[in-house]
Amino acid sequence: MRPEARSGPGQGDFALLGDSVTPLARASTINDTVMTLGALHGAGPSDTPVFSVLDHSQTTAGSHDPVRRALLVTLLAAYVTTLVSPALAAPSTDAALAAFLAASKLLTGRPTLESEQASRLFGALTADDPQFPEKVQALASLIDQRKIDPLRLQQVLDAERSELAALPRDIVTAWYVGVVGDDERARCITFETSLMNVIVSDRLKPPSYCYGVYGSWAQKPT
Amino acid sequence: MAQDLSADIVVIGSGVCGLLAAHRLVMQGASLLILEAGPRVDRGRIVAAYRNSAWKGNWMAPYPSMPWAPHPNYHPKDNGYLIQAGPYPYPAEYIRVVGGTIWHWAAHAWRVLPNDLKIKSLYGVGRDWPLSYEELEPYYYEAEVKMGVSGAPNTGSPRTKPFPMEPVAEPWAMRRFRERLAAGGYEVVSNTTARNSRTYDGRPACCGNNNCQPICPIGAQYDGGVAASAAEAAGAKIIPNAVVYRIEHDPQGRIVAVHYYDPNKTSYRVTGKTFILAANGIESPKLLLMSASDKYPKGLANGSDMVGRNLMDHPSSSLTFDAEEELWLGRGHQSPSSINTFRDGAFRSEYAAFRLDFTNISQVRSAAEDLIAAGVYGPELEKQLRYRSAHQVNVKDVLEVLPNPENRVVLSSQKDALGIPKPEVHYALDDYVHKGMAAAKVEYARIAELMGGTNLRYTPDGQYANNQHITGTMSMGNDPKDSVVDRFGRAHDHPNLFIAGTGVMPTAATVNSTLTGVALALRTAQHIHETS
Amino acid sequence: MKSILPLPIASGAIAIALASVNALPAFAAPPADADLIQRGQYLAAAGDCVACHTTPGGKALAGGLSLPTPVGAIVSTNITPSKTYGIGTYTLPQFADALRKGVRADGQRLYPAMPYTSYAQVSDDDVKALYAYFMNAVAPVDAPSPQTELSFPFNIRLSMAAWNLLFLDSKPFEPDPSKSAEWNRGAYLVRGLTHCSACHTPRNVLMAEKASRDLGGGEVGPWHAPNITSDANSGIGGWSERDLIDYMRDGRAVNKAQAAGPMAEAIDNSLHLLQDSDLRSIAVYLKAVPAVRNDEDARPAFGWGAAADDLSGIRGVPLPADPNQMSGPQLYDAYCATCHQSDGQGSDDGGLPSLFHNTALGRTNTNNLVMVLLDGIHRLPGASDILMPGFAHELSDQQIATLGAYLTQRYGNPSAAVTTAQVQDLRAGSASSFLIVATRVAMSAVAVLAILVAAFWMFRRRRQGAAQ
Repeated sequence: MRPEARSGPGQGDFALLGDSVTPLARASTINDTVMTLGALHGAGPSDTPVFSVLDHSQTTAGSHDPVRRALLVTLLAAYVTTLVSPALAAPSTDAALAAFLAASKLLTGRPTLESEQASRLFGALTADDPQFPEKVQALASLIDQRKIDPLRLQQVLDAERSELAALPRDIVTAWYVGVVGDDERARCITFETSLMNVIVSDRLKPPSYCYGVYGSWAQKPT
Repeated sequence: MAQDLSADIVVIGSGVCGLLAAHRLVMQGASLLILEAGPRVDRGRIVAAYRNSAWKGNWMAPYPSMPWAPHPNYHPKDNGYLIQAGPYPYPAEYIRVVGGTIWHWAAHAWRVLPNDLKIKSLYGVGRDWPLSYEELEPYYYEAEVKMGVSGAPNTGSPRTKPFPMEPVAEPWAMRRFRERLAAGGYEVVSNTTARNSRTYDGRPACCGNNNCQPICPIGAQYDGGVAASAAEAAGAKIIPNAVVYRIEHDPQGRIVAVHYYDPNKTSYRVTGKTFILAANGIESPKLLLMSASDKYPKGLANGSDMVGRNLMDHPSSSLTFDAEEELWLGRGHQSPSSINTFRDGAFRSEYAAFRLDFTNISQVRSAAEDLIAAGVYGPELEKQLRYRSAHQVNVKDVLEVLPNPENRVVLSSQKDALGIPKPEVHYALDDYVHKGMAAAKVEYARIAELMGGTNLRYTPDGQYANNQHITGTMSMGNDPKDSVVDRFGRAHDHPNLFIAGTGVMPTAATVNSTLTGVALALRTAQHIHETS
Repeated sequence: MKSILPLPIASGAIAIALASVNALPAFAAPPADADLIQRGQYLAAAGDCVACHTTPGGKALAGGLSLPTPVGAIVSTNITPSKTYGIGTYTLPQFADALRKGVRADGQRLYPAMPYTSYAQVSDDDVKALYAYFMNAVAPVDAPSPQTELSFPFNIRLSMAAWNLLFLDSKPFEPDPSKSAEWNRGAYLVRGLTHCSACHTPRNVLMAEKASRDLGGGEVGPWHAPNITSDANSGIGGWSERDLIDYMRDGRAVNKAQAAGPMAEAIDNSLHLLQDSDLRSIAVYLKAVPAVRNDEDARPAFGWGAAADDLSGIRGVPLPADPNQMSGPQLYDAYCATCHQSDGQGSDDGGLPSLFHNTALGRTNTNNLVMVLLDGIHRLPGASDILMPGFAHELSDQQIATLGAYLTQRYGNPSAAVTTAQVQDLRAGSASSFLIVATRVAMSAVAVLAILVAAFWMFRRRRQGAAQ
């Protein structure tokens, strides 16, 4: 199964609290998604941008409104709890992978992640660092306890000189760029299904893949 | 000593200049042996290696660097082959495989401007070439037909015959640059490139996969594989993994043989009547310097002491910004369009001329890496990545560097795995360059404004990217005291040694050097044919 | 057997009604009816005369194309109106006999590389139009084409008379009043000028077409000419008329098939030039041709496969040093995926075809797949697009076999197989693959051998009998 190209945040409807979709409706979507977590199949029922609730873009209308801000924080907390808690409660053998998936969903901003890809990335990250399973569980716990907005997470970890500070970047790089490992240890785990390519797949092919018949690139991207 | 090999003409190096000179000569009836230090490579495997590469921004990564024929590589770390003596870094890249560095290029196949060949006379800087544009023109055309070149008609290089094909369809983003910049008086035109807009010479038309570098997956772009196949089909013999380490001369100074190592360091001697050194602007002078003898203590062809000197390339600054509208760079070919109006003028007596070039390389990976490096996670990452992928654009200059004898290639004291000295580069950039860069920066700002640009990110002043257009190190000239080869590429000191490649160009001009190197090599081949 | 040999050879006796009307010598260049000439040109395109009678890059219809056959090279003749080297002195009856009976003006027999068994169906009116075109609108080329020089016994053209007696049905086409006008037009074209059966009908041991399996699929040198009967699985029963028309006109039916090899040539030289109404008639007729079912065809050739990839097994895995050890997914990644995409779905605009739901990978006979991998798809040779590059120079027999097997397993008919030995054989045949159409027909000469041997045996027996 491949993640499908999604419409949504990137196409400009990110000003969630200003649009017609109510937070409540989104919250129910969150719950639907969370229900699939334990099974690790990541097949969320919807590709709607549930993570929109976490939006902190400067361009987002209303994100500095105190009431809306409070609502956001509440939603975030609820979301993180529903996402991470079941993962932490999973049997120990699966717990690390579940924690990885939960943390990955938060960090990548993607409500559904492909399970085989998750396993391969988890395996590669663990091969690089045998402590990765424990660390990722610790990271998931930390996020769960402190309800840290993913946009501020790196800042917080860096400021606290956390031992986990390298983890988010490694995880997001794995998912988005498809690369695990630093410098000479770096290896390509995915390319076509790397999230950076998936989220623009309605407009761009990964380099080295054709667009279509000769000259099709002369058209306005739509 | 394993066996003796011989041919009428022995070519050292299987890059595009050596291959096309060889191809021409073998068609004219000579026997040709081409010695290549590196291995054969295969297009499909390079494509697969690229997709599997962890360093997709490093276009050298898919190409194998063999222990016996290492090539420079800087990512994830400098492999230490090209020794940097400074003061300015010169991280040149080239590929030591059958077909050479033209396996990965942007297919830019420009002619110089007539004035580029006489900047000393016209502007009092640099040096004049020992030949005129008119003398070179027929060979330019021959190279264009061979390589399948197209381009805009109005870039200042006169031509007697039209391009062999139409330019490749203009990507949407480039169209918008052209349309919006026209309001500011800029003329954005199609680059002159060796990329098929139709079936040409048995190769298909471009399919827009945005992977010209590091490898065109379908061979729509002229490259080293195409050149090597054509030369071999015509009857030239290529010996891969043959690392030439010495050129041997007789007491009169004629070249009698070259010696090469195979990967096991078994030595072979290859004799011939005529020799063409075509191993690029760094490896060729290295080999000449390595071949020093009692008679030629400074190295072969080096009576002028100019071998390895006057190293030039094209440094680039750039501006990255977010265009007002969605442009989605990455659809179509990588390097489609440019502005050519700053390539010549009276200002050249004061500062460097340049060409402005617009990239169409997908911004997705670089934007993702930038955002992740900045700790942008969660939904904001996806949102900002889509925004940048749609809006982020880049304009750069390709700027002329003047010849300076102190910029040079010498033999390092460090040795490679076969015990052959590594090349060492000395490189500095002067105010002529910096002032040209400042002039380009003014244009960048205007361009960004016309594109409704925001989030302007200039490269730091004084820190320039390199373009791998290695020129000048075996400069041609009429005076044996200040040049290495004559106007036909013949070494002043050795009547049967010719040098083919961009290294013989006396100045660098403002355009990618490949087509000029090839045209000069074809002219050299014609001269060899006429005189031998 | 006895009756075979005494067959009258120069059988110019058949009267053709129009002979006296329009037997114009070429040099006269009469003010021929422009419409007639134009119709003749159209019919010549339908008959695909240039396919065999023009060399690549050579002058139109000047002959000289060498058609490699099992019995030797048969060289096509100059059919321009050159009086010295072409057919400029032919009268209309002579022209008609050559076309429909395989008899030259000098009475000699043509080899059935010339599809006169099909052209026998052509109407008198159409023969007249063709004659007008050849004599008036084709530029004469006053240059000889090389002679066909077969070794004994194939050099005895007389032998073709025997073959004709067995296999030439010289009755012209007769419309079936119970069928529609479109069907009848289609039948006339398919059975006659477009000579579809020459390739698409299997041959018997004497290399004549098997009427019982008309259009049920044949072999054309290394290529397979598929079953084009109305059978839903084995034939084109599942194709719409629109699909068939698109395919014949453009060489492509979206989400079904692309033409390659000899069929691509037939389209470029012939079918592409036909009016849509004629293409529709052909489609109507083909969809009504009695179904011929091959039992192994469990579903239509275009009915297999789905989008899928094997990326997780190859990303981050170094390529084996030995190219022959590359896996199917690795070969697909290296040589195919750029255009057909990582999951085989082709390009979004449909311009680069998907590999699933594609007849190329749906047939149990994989010869065409191998041939396309080796030679690619070239349309309008020398002029237009390489639709797909060939990989004969890049890939070894083993690599092609690995790749071909992967493609059928992953995107096509999983019971189809590709072997290294098959690739080796087809590669050997692929060098001369242009105009294998004619090669296929020319193999009929094998039958001649059989007949001659029999005749010779009888002759000897008779002499022995006489001697006794």
